[in-house]
Amino acid sequence: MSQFEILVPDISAIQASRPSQLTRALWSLSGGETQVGNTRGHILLICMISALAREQIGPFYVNCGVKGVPTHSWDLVFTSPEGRVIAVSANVTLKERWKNENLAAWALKKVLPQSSAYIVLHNEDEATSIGNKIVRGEAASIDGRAQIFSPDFDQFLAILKSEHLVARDDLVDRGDNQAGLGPVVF
Amino acid sequence: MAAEVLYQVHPDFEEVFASPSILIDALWRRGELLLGPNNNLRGEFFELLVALALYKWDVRPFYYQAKLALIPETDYDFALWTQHGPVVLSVKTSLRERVKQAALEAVALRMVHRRAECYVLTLNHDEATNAQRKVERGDLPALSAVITASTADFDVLIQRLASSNPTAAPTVALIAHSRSVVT
Repeated sequence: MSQFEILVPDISAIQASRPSQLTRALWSLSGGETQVGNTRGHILLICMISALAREQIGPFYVNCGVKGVPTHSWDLVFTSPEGRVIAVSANVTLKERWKNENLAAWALKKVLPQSSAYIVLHNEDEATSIGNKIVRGEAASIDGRAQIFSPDFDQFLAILKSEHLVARDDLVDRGDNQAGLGPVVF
Repeated sequence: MAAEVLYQVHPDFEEVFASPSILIDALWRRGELLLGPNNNLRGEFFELLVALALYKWDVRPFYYQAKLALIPETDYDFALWTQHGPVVLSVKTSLRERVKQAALEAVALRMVHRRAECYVLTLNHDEATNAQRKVERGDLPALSAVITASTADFDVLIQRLASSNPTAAPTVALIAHSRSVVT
């Protein structure tokens, strides 16, 4: 049993009417605020995956790249029957790495033109800042961003839910050591 | 300022160094104490040393902090234009996760210029060796090489770049041809 399962034994018991409420509750229960480094990032991703599970959104891939876009992997990759990819990076904080995300999104769209890329963040100030960069065109390849406890996140999940998603192993790159997971289906 | 440190450690521009790597190694050693722990200053100083090496070994013209057309939001530390297209140098005192940024910038460049060459220059030999292994394994496919600037590998690169006869980058019309223009 993972530490997360010990801390949160029954996700369905959490009272939350919206995905953003669920992620906030899970973050708090799992002590996300008091953790450091990579652990916070892992908790954030688990919070997001839990919200996807509750909303029955999937299938998706975890920690995977996209074939034809070398070097970069996304936290979550959704694929459509037409060969579109929706790539999501979930980060506690990004700092200057938003530039990497923007470049990777640009490369993704060069390879699969109808694809999109989103950023989910914990840091509210950064979420606002990246939102402004998207509007100003500095991060023009990013399609949207959401702070994981905000209504933006609910809207983002609504977008995902409206998509026709299927598993497309042929589009996904699990990395040389096959570390990527999926397709995850609920 | 990095330029002031460079002037202090290299007041005589005519001072001769046996090779580019010896220039980098010697001036970095002289400057290191003056630079202190400020990473931005150290990075800027290293960039100036690379610029100096390019200049002294006739790898010119080169573009410093260059933004290339059609590639979004990316400043390449150094760019050259050769008959095969652009060559970019990403200059980082140490690599850590930043090699990934350089690799992504290389991916973007090669999507526009298929024959572009993309080099990462660093001072940390262990990190460079590890990253170069990844390049050779194909894990960082868009990068041409990761090179320690204080080693003979840098001399080989500089020699190759000088012999590639860099020129000023051409300007291209964004619309190559059209039958007519309707306004």
